[in-house]
Amino acid sequence: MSNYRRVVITGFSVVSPLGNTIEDLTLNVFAGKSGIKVLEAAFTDKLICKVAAQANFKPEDYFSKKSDYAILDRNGQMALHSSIEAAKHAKLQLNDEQKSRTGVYVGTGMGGALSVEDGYQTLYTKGENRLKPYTVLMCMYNSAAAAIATHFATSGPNHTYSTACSSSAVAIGQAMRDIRHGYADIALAGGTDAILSYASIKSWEAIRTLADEDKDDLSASCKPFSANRTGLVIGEGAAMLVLEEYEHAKARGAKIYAEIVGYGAANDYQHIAVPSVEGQAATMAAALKDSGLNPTDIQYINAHGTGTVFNDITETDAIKKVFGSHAYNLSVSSTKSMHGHLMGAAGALEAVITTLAVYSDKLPPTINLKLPDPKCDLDYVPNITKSVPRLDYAMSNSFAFGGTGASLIFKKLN
Amino acid sequence: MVEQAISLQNEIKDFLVDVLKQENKIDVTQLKLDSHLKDLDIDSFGFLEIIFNIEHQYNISFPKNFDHIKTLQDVINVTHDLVLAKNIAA
Repeated sequence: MSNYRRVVITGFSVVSPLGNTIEDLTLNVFAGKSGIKVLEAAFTDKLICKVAAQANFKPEDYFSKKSDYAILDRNGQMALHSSIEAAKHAKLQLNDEQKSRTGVYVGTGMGGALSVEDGYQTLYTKGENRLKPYTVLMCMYNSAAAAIATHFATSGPNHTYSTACSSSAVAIGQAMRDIRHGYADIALAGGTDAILSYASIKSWEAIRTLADEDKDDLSASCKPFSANRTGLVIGEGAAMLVLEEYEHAKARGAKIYAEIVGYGAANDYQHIAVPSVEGQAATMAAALKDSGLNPTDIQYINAHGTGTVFNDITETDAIKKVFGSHAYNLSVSSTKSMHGHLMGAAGALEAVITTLAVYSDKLPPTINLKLPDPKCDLDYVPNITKSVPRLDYAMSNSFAFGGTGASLIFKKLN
Repeated sequence: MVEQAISLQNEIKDFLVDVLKQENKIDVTQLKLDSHLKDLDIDSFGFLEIIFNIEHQYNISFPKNFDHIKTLQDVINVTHDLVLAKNIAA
């Protein structure tokens, strides 16, 4: 890929169950802390699984004027805040030329789901006959991207991707491609989802993928790769990254946290909701091919690792299919054990965590892994962060209902 | 009849001030009813929000085209006329 423009990460920020600043996220993720707890909601007692990975985010704490956030669904509020903080982290101050060369790329699985549900409540439960004037703007899937592009007054590409749980990994990958091929110099890329509503959680209950509560320790309810895993813990949040063309970043003296050297997207066509080894392997292989790396170059994989019975075995087998015997030299972890499954925002949060891993030479753990599953026999960095002398290449996997898989490869820059 | 009209106008004005206060649209202590909405920093979204609250409160529907509504006093006058029309129809 040496003929293409290089793409680097110069900033990022999050709203997450592990904190709303990079400092908090870094501390918590490498300390192996869980952000999973009993959901604070009026309907919690009606849920089978009462735990969730909720972000501690009140928009009034982050925006000075109500008018800055009142026309946005919670997903847009979290994404806009993350973008503003990511731009600060990257010390971005865009001039007019740069604004015309900046793109916005946002992934979201369910868009303004809370506002849709609120609208239905108003009409069908409360019996009222009019909705809030911003309802359309709050519900539309591209609302978050629009808010970000409007805030920064950018006129480059503005795209929203909705591929369920891989949405934000796709957004980052597509942003990388746009910069690589010259359609933009800078990208605000990532994802957001806010779906901790009664109807959304009931929908996930219905498809029987949610974890059982761990009665001894509710915060340990998500147990990826463990023999006693029972499913995923649903979460919410946003994560946004600043991607930049390498020379552009160097010219302005930006701090570079990692380079994105590979992006692969492939479709798992065998079933709309059941993952296949072939589909997941094709995704990782596509990213490797895109990067021009050998499988043995990869040292760490931030797994999709949902904690469902099917995914974790399938992903383990897919890693073995792609990496062969090197699979046993790899470290693989699922940080969803700590921050839950942020759905459309998961890939972006995990991209941030993988960037932190590459930058700091630390591999975040899979917590709650105390009973190994014989069918999941790789090194999953159980329970405690592992430090390595140097982490040069890491992959982050995102797979999804509907079939769209996305893998990203990050490289350490000296 | 005149007293009733004045009373309704005052009630609408008080409600409007409450909405403006609640939505942080403007500093209500500086409020002048003949000020143009755009001078009060009320954009098209802010205006829609005001209309939404008034419609909900009085169970009326503003006309689709409200280009003629320029000031807060215009809002009060249109609301007043719509409430009266609703009451007469009832």
